[in-house]
Amino acid sequence: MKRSKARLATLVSSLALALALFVAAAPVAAYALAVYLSTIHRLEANLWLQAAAMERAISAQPEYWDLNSDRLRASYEPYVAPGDYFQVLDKAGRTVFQGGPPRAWHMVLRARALHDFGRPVGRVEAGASVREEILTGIVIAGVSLCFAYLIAGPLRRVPLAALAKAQAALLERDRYQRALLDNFPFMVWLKDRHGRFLAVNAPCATHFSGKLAESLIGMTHADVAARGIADVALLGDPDLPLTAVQSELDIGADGRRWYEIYSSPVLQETGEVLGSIGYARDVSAKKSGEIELARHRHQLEALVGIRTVELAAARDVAEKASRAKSEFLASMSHELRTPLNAILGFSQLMGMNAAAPWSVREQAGEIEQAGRHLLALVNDLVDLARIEAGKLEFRIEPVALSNVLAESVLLVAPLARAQRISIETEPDVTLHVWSDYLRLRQVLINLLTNAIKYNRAGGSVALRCQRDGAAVRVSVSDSGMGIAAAQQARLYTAFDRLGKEAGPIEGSGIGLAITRRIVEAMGGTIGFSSVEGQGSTFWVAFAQAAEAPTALAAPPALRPACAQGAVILYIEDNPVNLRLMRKIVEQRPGLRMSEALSAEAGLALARSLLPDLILLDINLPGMDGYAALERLKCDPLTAAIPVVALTANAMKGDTERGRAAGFSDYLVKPIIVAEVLALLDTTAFKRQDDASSLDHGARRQHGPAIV
Amino acid sequence: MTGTRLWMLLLLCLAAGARAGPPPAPLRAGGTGSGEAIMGLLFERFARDHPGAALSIARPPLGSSGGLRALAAARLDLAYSSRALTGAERAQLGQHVQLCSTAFVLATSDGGRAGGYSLARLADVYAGRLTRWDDGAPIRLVLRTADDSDSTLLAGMSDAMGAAVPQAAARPGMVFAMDDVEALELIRRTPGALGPTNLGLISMSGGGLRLLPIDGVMPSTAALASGAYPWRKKLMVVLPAQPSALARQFYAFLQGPVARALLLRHDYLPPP
Repeated sequence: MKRSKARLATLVSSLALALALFVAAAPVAAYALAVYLSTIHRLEANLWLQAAAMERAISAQPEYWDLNSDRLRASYEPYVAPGDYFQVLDKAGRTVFQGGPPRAWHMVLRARALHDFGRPVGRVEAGASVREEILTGIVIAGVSLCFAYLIAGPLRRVPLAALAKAQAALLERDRYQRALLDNFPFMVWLKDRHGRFLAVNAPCATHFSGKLAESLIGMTHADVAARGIADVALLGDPDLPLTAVQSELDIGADGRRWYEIYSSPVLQETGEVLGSIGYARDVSAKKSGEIELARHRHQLEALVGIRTVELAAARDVAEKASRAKSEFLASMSHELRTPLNAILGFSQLMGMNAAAPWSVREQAGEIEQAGRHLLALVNDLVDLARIEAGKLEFRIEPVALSNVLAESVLLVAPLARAQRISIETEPDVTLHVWSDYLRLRQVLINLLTNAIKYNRAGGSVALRCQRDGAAVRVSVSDSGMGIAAAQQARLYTAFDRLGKEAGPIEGSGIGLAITRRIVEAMGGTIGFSSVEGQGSTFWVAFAQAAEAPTALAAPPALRPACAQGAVILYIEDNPVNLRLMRKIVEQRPGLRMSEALSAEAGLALARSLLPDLILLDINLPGMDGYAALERLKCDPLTAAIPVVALTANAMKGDTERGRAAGFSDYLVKPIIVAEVLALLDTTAFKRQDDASSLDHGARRQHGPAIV
Repeated sequence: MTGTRLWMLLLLCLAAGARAGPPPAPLRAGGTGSGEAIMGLLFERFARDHPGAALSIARPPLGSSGGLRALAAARLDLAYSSRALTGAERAQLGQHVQLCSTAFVLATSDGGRAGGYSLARLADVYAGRLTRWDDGAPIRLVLRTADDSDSTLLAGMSDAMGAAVPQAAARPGMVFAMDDVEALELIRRTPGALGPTNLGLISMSGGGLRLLPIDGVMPSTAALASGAYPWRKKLMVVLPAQPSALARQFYAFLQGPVARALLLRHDYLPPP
C-alpha cells in the first residue's frame, strides 16, 4: 500500500510538472507556430507570383533566359517584399541572380520550381527573417516560465492532498468491507466468468486453503482446495440464477463435513454476466443434530407406537368405564325418578286436596319437601357426575341478567318466605353477560338457596349486579352466621358441609362444588368473602355482552279448567304412575282418561279412540315410546294427535331428542302436578275450540278404556 | 477689285469649312482575334466604296464572348465571333450571319515533325507522354484558357484529346496565350513551340509557320471544302438590335460577292 501510494505521489508530481511546463510552453509554441505559418503563407504567395512572372519571362526567351539575368531581375524584383532574401537558380543549381539581405539562420526559407512551357528549368528561393519574432517568443517564454513556476506548487499539492484524503476514505471503506466480509459467519467469494477469485473473505480462505484471503485473488477453487471441494464450489454457473446445493465433503483431518453452498450470477447494468458470487456455511453441526434428531424421532415413533397401542387399550377400558358410568347415571336417574314421581305426585295431590284435614295436607307437604330434596340431590349427583365426565354441555350466548335474576328470585321466593328472609334486588338491571341461561339460573338459585338456608331467621339476602372492568359481577350477600376462616379453604369441596352435617339445615354438600365447576366451565369466575358472625357474600363474574339476547318465548298462559269431553290416552307400564295420572285427571272433571300398559295396546286404542292428547312413556316393555310415536305419526288417523312424552329419562339431550322426534312436549318425572294440569287445560280448550267444526260423537261412543 | 477679291476669299473659306464639317463616326468593331485582320481588310475594301467610313477595332482582341457582351452593351456597332450565339444572345442581339470558316490547325515555328501526328500521338503530346520533337528538341505547348473556343475545338478532336487537353492545362509552368494573336506570336517566336491557330489568321499575318498534318491530312482550304480536313473555325458577324446605318451597310457588304472573293483569297471559306 505504501509503495502504491508513493507511486501515485510520483505520478501526481510528474503530471503537475508536465502541466506546468505545458502551461509555460503553450503560449510560446502557439506564437511560434502562428509566426511560422503566417511567414510561410506570405512567402508561398509571393513565390507563386514571382514564379509566374519568371515563367512569363522565360517563355519569351526559353533558350536564353538564364543568360539575361538583368532583364529577369527587373521583371522579378517588383514582386519581392522589402527585406526578403531571394535567389533564382538554374536547373544545375547555379545562381542566376539573387538579392535582398544575405541568407541567415533566422530566416524562413521557401522555394518553387521554374518551368519552360511546363518543363522544370530551375527554381526560385525566398527567405523572410523572423529575428524579431524570435526575440518576442523568448520574452513570452520567460514570462510563461515564471507563471509555470508559480502554479507548479499548487498543481502538485492540491491533487496530492485530495489523493491522500481519497486514499484514507478508500482504506477506511475497505476496512469496513473487509470487517463485514471477514466477520460474516459464512464463507463468501466473488469470481469472474473464468472461475478466478476476485474477492474472498477470511473464513473462506482459512477454511478451504489455510491461506490469506489476498493470496487467493486470481486463483481458482481448483488451485487452492481439494478436488471434491473445488467441484462443489464450482457449481455456481455464472449464467444460471441462484443455485443451492448441500453437499458432504471430506476435508481431511476434520473428516467429512456438510456444507450448504449458494451461488448466483453477478450481472452488469446491461445484463452481461460479470461472474458469480457465492457463499457457503458449515452445517455439519446442524446436520449432525438433524441426523441425531431423526434417530431419536424414529425411536420415539417406535415408542409412541407401543404407547399408542397401550393407550388405545387403556382408552377402550376408560371408554367402557365411561359408558358404564353413563349408563349407570342414566339408569340411576331413571330408577330414582320413577318412585319419586309417585311420591311427589301423590304428595302434591294430597296437598291440593282442600277436603283433606290440615294435618294430612301438612304431612303431604312434608313428603313433597322430602321428595324434592331427594330429587335435588339426585339432580346434583347427576350434574356432578356429568361435570367430572366432561359431558356437561353449555350454550353460551348473551343473557339478559334482568330476566335470569327475576326468574331465580321468583323460584326461591317460597323458600325465603318460609324462612322469613327478605330478598333485596337491583331495581333495574340492563346488563348482559356471556353465559348459558339455564346454567346461570342454576348457579344463582344455588347461591340464593344457600344464602337463605344459612341465614338467620328474619334475615336478609341482597342480590346486586355491577360492572367489573370488561366483566359483570353478580353478588349474593346474606346476613347469616358467616364462615369461619379455617373452614373457608374447604368451601368448594364436594360433600364437605363444614360441620353442618348434624345440623337442622338440609343439604348434600355438593352445591357449591357444582356451582364453581359450572361457572368456570362457562368462562366465569366465582369468589366469596365472609366474616364469621356477620354474613357472607358470594359472587360470580362473566364477560359482559353488548348484544341483546334473544327474547325468550313467553310461557303459554294457563286457561281456567272449564273444558268438557276431552279424552286423554296415557300409555304407561307402571301402575303407580297410572294411578297418579288418573288422580290428576280427576282434578279436571270434564276430562276422561284411557290407559294402555304397552305401546302396542296404546296404538290400537289411539286408532279406536282418536284421543285429544296422548301421554306416552318412553321406557316401555317391547316397543318403546319413540317407535310408538313414529307409528302414530305415520298413521293418517293419529298423525294429528298431539303426543307428549312423560318419562323419567332426564339425562342431557333427552329433551332435545324427544322434541326432534316429534313429541309436542317433553315432561320429566317426577312430574309437577300444576304443569300437568296446565297441559290438560290446554288440551281441553283445544278440544272445545274444535268441537264447533268437528263431530266427535262417533269417537265418544266408548267410555274410558284400559288396555 | 480688292473688295471683290475679299468677298471671293470669304466665300471660298466658307465653302471649305462647309465641306470639312465634323468627321463621320467610325464603325466600332471587336471580337475574336482570329477575325481581326480579315475584318480590317474587308472594311478597307468597303471604305473604298464608302469614302469617310472608318473602322475602330477594339484591341487587344476582346474574344468572341467579350465582343458579344460589348455589342449588347452598345459599346460596339458590330461584333465577330468564332462560336455560334447562345439563345440568350440571340434574343438580346440583332441580325447575325456566318461570314466564313477557316481550317483550325496546329502549327509550329520549327518543330521537327514533317509528317505530323496522328490524333493519338497528338493526345500523347498534350498529356505529357511525348515531350520532344523527332530531332530531340523540346515540344513547347502554347495553351489557351479552358473557356476559349480553341481549347474547346482541341478537346473535341477525339476522346483522347478530350482527356489530354485538361491534363496539359493542369501541368505546372505551362504558358497560356490570352488571345489568338498572342498565341500566333508565341508559336511563331518560340523555338519548338506547338499550338492551335487557324489557316486564315496565318494567311493574314504573313505565314511563316509550319502546319502540322493530322492523321496524314495537311490542312488547307481545299481540304476543308472537300471535307478531307474536318476541323474548322467559323467566323460569325453580329449586329446589335438597333444597328447603325454604317453597320447595316458593312453587314450587307460582307455578304456580297466582293467580300466573298476577298475571303477566299485569304484562306477563308465563305458559306456556299
